[in-house]
Amino acid sequence: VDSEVFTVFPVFLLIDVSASMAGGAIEAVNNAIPDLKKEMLANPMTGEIARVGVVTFSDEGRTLIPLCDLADVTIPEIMIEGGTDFYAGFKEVKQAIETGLRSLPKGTPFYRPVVFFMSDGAHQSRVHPDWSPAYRELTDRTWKLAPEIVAFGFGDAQADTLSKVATRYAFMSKDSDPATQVREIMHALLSSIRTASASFRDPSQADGLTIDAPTEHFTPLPKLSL
Amino acid sequence: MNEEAMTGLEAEQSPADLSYPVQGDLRDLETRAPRIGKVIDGDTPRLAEAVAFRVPSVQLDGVQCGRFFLAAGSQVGLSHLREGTPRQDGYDFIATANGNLVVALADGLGSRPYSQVGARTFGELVVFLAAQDPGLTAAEYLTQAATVTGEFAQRNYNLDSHSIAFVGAVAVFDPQLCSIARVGDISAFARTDAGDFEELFVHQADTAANLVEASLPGRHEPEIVTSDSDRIVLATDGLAGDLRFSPAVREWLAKLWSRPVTGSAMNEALRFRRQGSHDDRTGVVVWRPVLDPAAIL
Repeated sequence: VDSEVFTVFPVFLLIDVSASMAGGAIEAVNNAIPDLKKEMLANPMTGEIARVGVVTFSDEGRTLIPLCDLADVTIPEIMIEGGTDFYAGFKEVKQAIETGLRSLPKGTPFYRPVVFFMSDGAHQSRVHPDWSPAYRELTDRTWKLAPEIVAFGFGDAQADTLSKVATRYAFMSKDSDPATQVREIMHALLSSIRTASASFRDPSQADGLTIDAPTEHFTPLPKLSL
Repeated sequence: MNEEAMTGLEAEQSPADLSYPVQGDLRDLETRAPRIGKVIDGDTPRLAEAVAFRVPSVQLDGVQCGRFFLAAGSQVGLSHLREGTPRQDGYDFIATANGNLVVALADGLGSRPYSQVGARTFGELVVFLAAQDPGLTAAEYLTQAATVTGEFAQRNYNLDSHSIAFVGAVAVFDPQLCSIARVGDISAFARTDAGDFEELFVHQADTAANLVEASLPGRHEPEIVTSDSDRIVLATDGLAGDLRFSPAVREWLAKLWSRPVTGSAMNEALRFRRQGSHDDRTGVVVWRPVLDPAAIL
């Protein structure tokens, strides 16, 4: 390699912005992303390695922040949209991973991407009644950029669905207030990025990712297959 | 002081809140090592509670070993200093009775609680085996030492192979050739006359950086390379990655290692800061033939 290339840990937030997220929940998301940016500026373990993309989904998927160093961007406000189409979210995040990693300098070493999926409801779409084809494409291990997916659910999210969405780790929030739920999810997410940046390395991939989700706020869910 | 004032003071500064030294108050020696990319200064190094089997944060050598000169350094990574966990890399070496030099390197897996035990024991056992039987191949030292490491940890500490897992490599230098066997991602480089580093193992560039395919103890066929270069660098992945991906690091180390160096010069060599380079760094540099001792930096 003839020019400096730095290792990148790609992290994507895949956030449900359906109507049910209105109010405290979306406000908590909007407050948390600047905190993520502060963490990036203060902690070498995350700030020097983690690159973050933010993708939202409702009836459509939208790449709000392409994979980037959060320290370098102005964070846009996340707005509430319409329904809850997981298919659109999975399609969009796959595209965001592909575009984001392809845009890195040639030869850049990268960690396996991690997608933090966050939803407060069930998949509801007339256009895509079945979300699993998009999910299978996203997690197909023959695609070399296939991410790990960590699922966080709250509100009316369905535990079984979260267990299917997660490649290994799924959590259901125990808190009752949506704003608190989202805040705790964002705390857990931040802590997980920090831990993963430092120690995500293992011969058996099953042990490679460690997620810190405190049990006082979350119920860990078993992994279920589609 | 009345009781109310005392209570107020205690509330502001309970012993649990106090720590030493104050952030930014650590004195360090000056360094000429480069800072590369966007680097963020870290916190005060710390040691977490209840850490067993801690090894020193730094290990250094610069010695003549029979016909060879060996300089080696291993430094704890920033990620460990921040988490309060010990260095998990290790190296060891022996000038054998038949005139060879045998070098062992190991890198404990970050996610395993006692991988430093595996890494350290492996190095000691390679050296012990080479002292007993200097005629084995690099692959034989590696597989035998790895097996005994697993048994040793189980018998003496009741630690299973999973909790001490590491990747390892053994190099046997004779006057003509160097043979290196590895399981995992430790790598080796030959120094070229142009001052560059030529990687001897094939690096899989298209896989995710954090996935290691094989570890020890365990049954894995070692990969083997040989080289007749008179300057070989063995490196765990923390340093190998910097050599692979950073022209600035290569330039810095090529200059410093243009001739044999002392242990403290090895420390200086590994003090560069590079964006995203937070793993333990271990490098063993072997020169052949031995130069005049007066030429040591």
